[in-house]
Amino acid sequence: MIKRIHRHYWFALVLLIGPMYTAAGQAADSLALMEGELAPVVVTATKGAKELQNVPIPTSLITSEDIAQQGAVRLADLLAEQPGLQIVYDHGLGVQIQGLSSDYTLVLVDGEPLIGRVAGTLDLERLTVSGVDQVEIVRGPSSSLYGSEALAGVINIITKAPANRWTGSLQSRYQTHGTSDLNLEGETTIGRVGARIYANRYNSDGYDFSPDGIGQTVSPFTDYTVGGRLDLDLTDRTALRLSARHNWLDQSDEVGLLTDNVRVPFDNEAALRDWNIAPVLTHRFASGAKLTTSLYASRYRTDTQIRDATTSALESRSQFDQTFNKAEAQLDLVLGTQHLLMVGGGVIGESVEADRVAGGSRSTQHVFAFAQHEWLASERLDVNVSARFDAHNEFAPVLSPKAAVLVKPNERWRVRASIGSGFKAPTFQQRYLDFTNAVQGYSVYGSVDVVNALRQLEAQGQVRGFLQDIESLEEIEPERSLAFNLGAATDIGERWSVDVNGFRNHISNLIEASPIALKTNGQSAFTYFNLSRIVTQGIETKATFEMNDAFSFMASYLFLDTFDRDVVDQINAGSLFARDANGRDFRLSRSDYGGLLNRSRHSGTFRVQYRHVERGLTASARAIYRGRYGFGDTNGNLVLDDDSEYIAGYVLLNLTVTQRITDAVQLQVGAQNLTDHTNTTFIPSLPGRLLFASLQVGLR
Amino acid sequence: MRNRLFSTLFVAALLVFSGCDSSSSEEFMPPEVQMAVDIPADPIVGFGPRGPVGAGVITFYSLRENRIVPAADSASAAWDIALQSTTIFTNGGASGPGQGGAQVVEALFEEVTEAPATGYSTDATSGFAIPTGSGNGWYNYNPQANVVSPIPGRVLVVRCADGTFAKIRMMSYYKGNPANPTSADESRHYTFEFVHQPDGSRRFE
Repeated sequence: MIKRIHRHYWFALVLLIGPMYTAAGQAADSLALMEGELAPVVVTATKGAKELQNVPIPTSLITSEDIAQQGAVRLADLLAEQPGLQIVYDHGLGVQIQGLSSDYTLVLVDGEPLIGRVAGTLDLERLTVSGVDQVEIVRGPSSSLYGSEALAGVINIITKAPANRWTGSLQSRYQTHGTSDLNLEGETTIGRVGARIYANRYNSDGYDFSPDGIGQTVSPFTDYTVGGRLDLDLTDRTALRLSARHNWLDQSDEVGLLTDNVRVPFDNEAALRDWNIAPVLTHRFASGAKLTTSLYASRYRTDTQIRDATTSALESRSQFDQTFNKAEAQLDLVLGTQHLLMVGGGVIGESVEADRVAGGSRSTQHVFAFAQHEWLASERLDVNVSARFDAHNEFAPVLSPKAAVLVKPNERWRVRASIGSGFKAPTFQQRYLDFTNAVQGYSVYGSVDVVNALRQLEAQGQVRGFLQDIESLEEIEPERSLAFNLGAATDIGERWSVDVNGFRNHISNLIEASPIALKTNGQSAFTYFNLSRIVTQGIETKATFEMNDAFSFMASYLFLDTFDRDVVDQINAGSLFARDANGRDFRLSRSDYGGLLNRSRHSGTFRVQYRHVERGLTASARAIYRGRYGFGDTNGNLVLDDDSEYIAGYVLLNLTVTQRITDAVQLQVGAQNLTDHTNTTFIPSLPGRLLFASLQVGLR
Repeated sequence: MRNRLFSTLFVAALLVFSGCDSSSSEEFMPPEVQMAVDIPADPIVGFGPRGPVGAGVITFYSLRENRIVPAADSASAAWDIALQSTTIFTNGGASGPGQGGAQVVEALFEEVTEAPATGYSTDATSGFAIPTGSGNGWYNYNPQANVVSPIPGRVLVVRCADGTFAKIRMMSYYKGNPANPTSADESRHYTFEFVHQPDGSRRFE
């Protein structure tokens, strides 16, 4: 564990304006060098380098050492063990932060957003941890710096900078279900040019919980990622960084299609292509100001083809193509000895092309500007205010302010408080969807085109009646949040540290589909409205204990309370009911209501680590507890209230042992879900016990 | 069940009471809770391009007589409600020649001791007295489980074809009134309990 080194606040100033990824290096004062340890530096919470312990916003950090010790290969595996985070499957493995589902968390690579969400989920299984230096998790809204989607938090994956001499590594890992991960990395710096590349192949045979059915629970797949970065010191003050990443994922399986009321197997081939590239130019002026300009281009495509199993004739095909391009500039200014000012802005262009998009393809533009002022009032007080303005061509502009404060009453205590707002722009689906269900006959229209679509439907004689005047339909607005975080961290002696954070998120304007018209076929036509309001609140706690050089312990617990405010209003008004096991109805009371689905009231992690430096041995065992949570409604009132609507809580045990064989060769074995816990009905995404072994060879 | 027993006892007590005191012979006689079990509502006969289809059969039902009315009498005031999949017609307006109408009351069945004086809708071409669609009228549709379940705490107060009042509590949309229906159960079979007040008043208790 890293010791905390006290610094003067002016030193933090130097840190803040230094180049992002060498800030830690610059910060290395003689004391740190003597101890051989540095205070960890993060860049996400304030869009600039800052020591983790001086960040006024709840932030956690996963280092490359943590990643190596756990033996994680995909980001989903890594985050599954993090305190306060919950990995939830919904069209991919997404992360739940502070009780908000994964569409409310922004995922960045080196500060640039990843695209390609399916039903709101950005599948974290898509992302290799290869080439990752650290992962920063900021909890609470950060829309004041990052804009849309940063309501629950921001996950920023920071890639490794090229080492200053030639090194390389080769790692191969084999796991249950024919899963393998092959990874090759190389890096060097020659003069003013540093380069780093990696190539990763991840494939699996998948697994099947219902061998009698058609297709597997998880289909076999092969995934390739190549990426790298080029760091050029153009002058002593000007640096160019070019990073790029390309991901190919191919999956093939059988799918059962209803033919004459019988399920018949068809071949299902799916391909995903995803790339992004980001040149970033930074210039440090003699005055201490720093200008960062960046361009970012990204594209995400999927192509799914269903073919007849014998004739290979194409049965159906669905394609999705999304681009996200951004240009941004950020200026960091130092004003005197106590003030840091950051201003920035940029423009974003997005496009989407898909079968269910009205008109086939759409594109939008949007501009934004942000500012942050940091006042280092004294050694004990750090105040940070920020705001961002987003103007979009399809919905009302959004202003997202935030204020945060860090107080250090003494050497041992750090108290953080923040209040901020977040927003989430309506998704492509909510804006452009044009979909009629072939089986049921209902239709759903995105908000941008709904009036035209309904007029067309009416002209075709398919409308029985409108539920409201469609000419007076209001445009849907972004979903908004207001959040409070209050926390404290302290060190007790040299060995203990405790971090507690309480939070409350109010989300309003939640966008949901609701009927707008009755069709002549008896079904409804739907569009999207700003409807519900939810609250998530809770307490995150984490404690670490370093017993001695060999053993260290970490325990975390999250208490989470969530609810839909309209449901609570209904309960208070006495108009929400439930039906008991005897078929009798009764009025629901507040204590019957279990809140939002998929949220565990109690969850936690426990980790014990052992290391023997001389023998080159490290071992860690982790337990991840997820308390019971609701999966759906069984008694007809569509809210979570009955015991039969919960999935029982469970514990997963993970184990990793790493042994260094020689200076260059390292062997790792481990197990995930050691007790083989499964729930094939409700959690098919949870495989049984996985055993793995990996060999890593350093090349130099 | 307890409620029915209670009603029966109550009626018995009234009878005993009225036998003792002739002056209370005009005492209010609460109508009994009756059951309608597994009333078919256009059961599924096959699958078309838009999913399951019935034969297009509407079941006409008399709450006054607690029996199915032959379809031949559909143009008469002999029926009070008619059932076709999740849609419930009432005998009035666009649906029939009677005085029928209905409203959905948010309350426990026992709490509706009197039919509301106002607030009834009749079937029209733009919509039904008992609104259709999940969450709007008497049922919720759970798309994950593909199950239709009655919304707890919804009482359908129906004005019958002859202007008398009834209150209905839906119990099941599945044959045999299974405790936890699944999509494998045979749908489009209504089981409900109801109280019909034949004396023309709005009082149920």
